[in-house]
Amino acid sequence: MSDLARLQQQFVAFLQGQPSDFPSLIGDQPPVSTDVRLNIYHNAYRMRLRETIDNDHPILGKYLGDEFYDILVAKYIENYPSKVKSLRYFCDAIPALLAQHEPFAQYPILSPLAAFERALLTAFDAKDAAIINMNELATLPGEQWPDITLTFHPSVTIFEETINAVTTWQHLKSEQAPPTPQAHEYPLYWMIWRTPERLTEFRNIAPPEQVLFNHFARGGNFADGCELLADYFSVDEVPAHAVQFLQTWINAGIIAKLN
Amino acid sequence: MINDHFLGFGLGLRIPHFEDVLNTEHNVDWFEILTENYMVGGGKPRYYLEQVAERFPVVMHGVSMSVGSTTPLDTQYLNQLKQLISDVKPRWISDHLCFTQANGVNSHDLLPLPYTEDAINHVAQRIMQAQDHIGQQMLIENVSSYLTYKESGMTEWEFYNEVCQRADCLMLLDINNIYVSARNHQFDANDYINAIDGKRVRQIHLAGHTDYGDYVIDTHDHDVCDPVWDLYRNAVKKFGAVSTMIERDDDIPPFTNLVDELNIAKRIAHEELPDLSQWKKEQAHV
Repeated sequence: MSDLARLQQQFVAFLQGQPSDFPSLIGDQPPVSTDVRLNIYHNAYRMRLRETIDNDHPILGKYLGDEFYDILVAKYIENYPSKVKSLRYFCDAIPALLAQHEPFAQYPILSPLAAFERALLTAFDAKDAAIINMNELATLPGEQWPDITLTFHPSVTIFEETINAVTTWQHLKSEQAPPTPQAHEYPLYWMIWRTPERLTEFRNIAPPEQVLFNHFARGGNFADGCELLADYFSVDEVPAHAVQFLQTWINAGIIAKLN
Repeated sequence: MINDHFLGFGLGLRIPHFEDVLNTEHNVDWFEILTENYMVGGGKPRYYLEQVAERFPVVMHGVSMSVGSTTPLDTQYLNQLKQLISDVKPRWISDHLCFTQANGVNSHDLLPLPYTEDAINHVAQRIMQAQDHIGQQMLIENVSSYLTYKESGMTEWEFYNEVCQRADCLMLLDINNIYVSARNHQFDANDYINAIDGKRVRQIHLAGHTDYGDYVIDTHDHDVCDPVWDLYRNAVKKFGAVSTMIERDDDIPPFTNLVDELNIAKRIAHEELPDLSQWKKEQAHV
């Protein structure tokens, strides 16, 4: 290994608080001590990562309170050093840490709360795409309906929760006390998307809408989607419900293309 | 004589100022974006950037190329950079004379290199590779530093000049970084400016810092201080008209405050360069 490579490895190990000979490579420059000089870098490293967590997870921070939040920050920086060029993705593993590491793992609300906060961020800067308007649906020839498939706007995702994470997020966002964590008997589904005005929105969707959305997201066609809805509605009501879902999605600006 | 690359006086494009940049009257000539902030698919930042780029010259300033690292250049990053260049069509792109990652870990900091012949060879080679990959000449910026390696055998400006000469890249000279490093390492900042190879200087950064008495940290959260304005005046005398901008990354003031601060740079440049008064008139006739 070259001297330059060794120096760089020692420097980064030092920043991470790992054993390192890096201090021995630094020249003495009074009146400022070598320790002070080294600490400028050490502190900057930790501060920058902490600020990123602060910016990405204000609601999680509120829920945890200062003491637990400090533990989270320290554990995350230690266990998940940044492997990414952009700090935008640095916190991607926070939900995993909260699910796997004590003292957080014993609180099952934490990981989904963080995952929801990240899902909102993902929708915020997802890829752009043109969207269709109602006219394209209205002018679709009747014989083409059974075979149509949909391309959704890249920002749309479905967030599945088994505990009341989104309600907790909403309470904290509006400065209210969070509800007691409560597991659901069946999962709840939240659609998250970015509007044409570039605002991030979300709403709770019932199982038929979630089933139909997943069907189209996987490339399924309208006719097969209607068959899936027959599990929820009487057969003669199915087409009307299916069309209504499509209209709702077009109005929300989440359909990029009818195929 | 004002050269074709002179863009005038610019600011770093920051999120709180998007609306002001687009919807208010101002005399900012151009904007610099932080490259990595726009390496996302879409959404608000890309939406505003598109509009800004339609109306103003834009340059791209990166923090993650890590031209000084000893691990292979990140081709995925370079491909993303190439794509963004194609989308934004900046007048030029820049990054820093430093390394940011090792052991597979990104420090998200601009870590200084030792000033050695080996480091010159290594970093010059990497800059050439990066330039080949993206198909254009880059600007390389001097960074602030807080420590000196025992093995460094030359001054920072000797190192910087030599790297840029061997890599045949251009220079983004950060006057505040020179001031910060001069205070931290007790050299004369004017010696630095006087030694720089002026024909390579394409852009100048100005910024504020935090002064702790015995040392100074490059925080970009204060106004530009008087000694940095004095250095800027010397830089203008030596280099002539160079595209100049103010970087502000923390405690970001209202847009109009930064425009006022930028007008100080403008005034200094006009005082030192009488030809500059013709520049806007020439631009108006283009």
